Amino acid sequence: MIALLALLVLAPPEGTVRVAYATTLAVDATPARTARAGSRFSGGAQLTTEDDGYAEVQLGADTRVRLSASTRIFARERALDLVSGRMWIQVGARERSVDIGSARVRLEPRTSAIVERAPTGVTVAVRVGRAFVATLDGELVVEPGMLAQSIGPRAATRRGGAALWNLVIREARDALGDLGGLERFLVERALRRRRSARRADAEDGPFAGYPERVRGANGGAAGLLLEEAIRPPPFFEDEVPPKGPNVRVDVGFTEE
Amino acid sequence: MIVAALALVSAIGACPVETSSAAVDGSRRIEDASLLGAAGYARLVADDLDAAVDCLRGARDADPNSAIYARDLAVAFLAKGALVEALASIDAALALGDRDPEALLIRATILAELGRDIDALETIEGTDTWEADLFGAALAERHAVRRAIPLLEEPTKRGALASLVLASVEGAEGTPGATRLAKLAATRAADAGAPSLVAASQELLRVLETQNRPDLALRLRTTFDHATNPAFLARGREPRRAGLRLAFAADGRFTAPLGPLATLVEARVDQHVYVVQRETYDRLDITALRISAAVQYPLSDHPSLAVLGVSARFVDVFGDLFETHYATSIEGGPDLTLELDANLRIRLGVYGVATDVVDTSPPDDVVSSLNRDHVGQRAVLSLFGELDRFAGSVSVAFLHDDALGDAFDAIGGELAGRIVAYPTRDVQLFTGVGLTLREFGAVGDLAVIGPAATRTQLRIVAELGVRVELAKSLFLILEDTWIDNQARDGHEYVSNIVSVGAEVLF
Repeated sequence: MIALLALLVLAPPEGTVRVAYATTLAVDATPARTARAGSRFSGGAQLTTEDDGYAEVQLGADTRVRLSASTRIFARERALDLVSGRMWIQVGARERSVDIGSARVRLEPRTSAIVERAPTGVTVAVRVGRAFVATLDGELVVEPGMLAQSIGPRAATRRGGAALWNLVIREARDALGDLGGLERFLVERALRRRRSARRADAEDGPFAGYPERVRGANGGAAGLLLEEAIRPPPFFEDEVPPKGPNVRVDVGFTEE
Repeated sequence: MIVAALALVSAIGACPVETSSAAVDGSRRIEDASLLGAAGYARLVADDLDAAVDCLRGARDADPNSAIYARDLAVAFLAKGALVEALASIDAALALGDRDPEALLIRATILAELGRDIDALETIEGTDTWEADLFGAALAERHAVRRAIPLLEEPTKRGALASLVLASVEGAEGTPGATRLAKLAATRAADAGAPSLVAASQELLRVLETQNRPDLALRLRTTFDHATNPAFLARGREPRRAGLRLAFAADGRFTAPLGPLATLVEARVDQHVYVVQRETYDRLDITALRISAAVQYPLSDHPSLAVLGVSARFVDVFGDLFETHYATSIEGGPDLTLELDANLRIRLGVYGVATDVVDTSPPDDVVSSLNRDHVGQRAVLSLFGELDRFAGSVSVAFLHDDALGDAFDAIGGELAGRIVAYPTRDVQLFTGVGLTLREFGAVGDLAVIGPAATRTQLRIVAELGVRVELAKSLFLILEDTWIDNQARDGHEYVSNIVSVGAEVLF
């Protein structure tokens, strides 16, 4: 049973190139040729995107792999090798593995992940699903919103990966265009939206949060001012000592 | 890229739809499906939609368990405008286990095109990508709008799209800063070499300029108010008599853009008429006028991120059909509002106040004959928040009044909180509490007289109410305001006002 499962996991990646720009395909010892939509990508095949290249490959019935520029993958007899560069892999119902030098990335069914191999190390970011990164040191579990980085012998996971995801989305958009119609939708909505009707409401206005709301006066600012004008004073009159020349002098003149 | 894609399509030839039906076993069928899928996908990228649908439909029929063909077919249907088929196909992809956010975004786009915006937003909830953020922002979802704001900084096509979307959202709110965003979108699009987005930005700019016209909104309100102590008599001044008054209020708000500035002028007129105890309270048949004005200037590219404002307000209160002139107040000053989060704003305002209490110096045993006219300062820090069906604010304020009569000098602080709940679309419940602590005086020499030279008062206010929309723009109002001024004997007073009435908005 275990052997059968292993066979399934390590099954040779029977694949088909779906889109390829500035990409070459070499099978075994044959010279590299330009990859085209419909080209087979199976055991012994090597797919390489150039500096301005991009490619999408389907593996089996339900795994989608997108290759960024300057990326090379190799279909070995029982696994897919990421030789260099960056790939976005969307795994379907069947588990998939990607070998990167001495490390192996195992992707659970229904996982979407970025796997990147640079001279400095290996990076794995997961958007949905789960990935297991096996290195010489052991195995790391990478979950959505996490990033695994392996630099030299050290490997660790941390929160992150959003920038990497934004990058691959933009690369896909640049290469494939507005495939899902998002840009068209955004522009249409932006131009279609009209100004909504405005209504007077006591809660808004320039003095929101200011005294009549803070003090909660009935009748708003006018109610508060009235209350301040007629409320009892803090002191009784006889508590206030006379101060200064607070004397009224009436002067009158008589004719004499 | 499109040219290259067309070249690819021509290289692969016509879509071999018929081969799928010729398949004799499962593996052959899947192999055919992948070829059909690749052909369909290449045509989709090349915008050859009819052929794309044919090929992808063939692929899906050959391998109905593949989420890849189902998603691609949904995209092809969406591009053709066949929304019902697109929705069925993307739902099939999701059911087959396609959990990538890209698939969710496609579903959300289809739903939004079908006019199901709420379902669309639910579909992308939790999808942490800039595409989902822009999509949510386009539907005016406030969190998404907030998350999309940093994209404005980018001199890229994405930055241009973000500017365009946010300009549209702000334009719908009537924010003058929307035109600034639309201009930013045009600049970003030009920098990114996206002529279609330049054209869209310019079109939006034209729309916004036609929409940015002065706007007037009105509110009329009539309530019956039952006040237990309308004259705010101190406890020692019993017997108090409750009063029943008819209260009218008319609010008008005029907004007009002035370049990048938002200008606002509000006017409110209040008229109270006591219907019982007229011999006691006719002098409290107040006529009040309030005029407020504000100018706001956005400090950032996004018009609501940081806003500098200047506000001023004039309030005048008369009684008994202008026989008595109670008081006049002028106040105003600058404020700064910062958007901390999609649902959280903070505002710091510093205001000056001048109040002239005109001719209400009452008898000596009731109110001091000292002049209570004062100038003062207020520093108010307010937090405004919204969460699902709730909106609220918390304010703290420092106050200082310097009156002509020493007895009315005051220093103190205020703390208040208010919350509004929207249990249904038509019902609004609100409650709030406010505390004002003031120390009056000192009367005489504080060093000689000591604490007796000052008086400390705590005014507590609580309100509770409901506002129900009976018909379009017609509201039933029911509210209670309780005022308790805690002070020494002879100075403390309590009043409770219950209001029932209606409000109409225009």
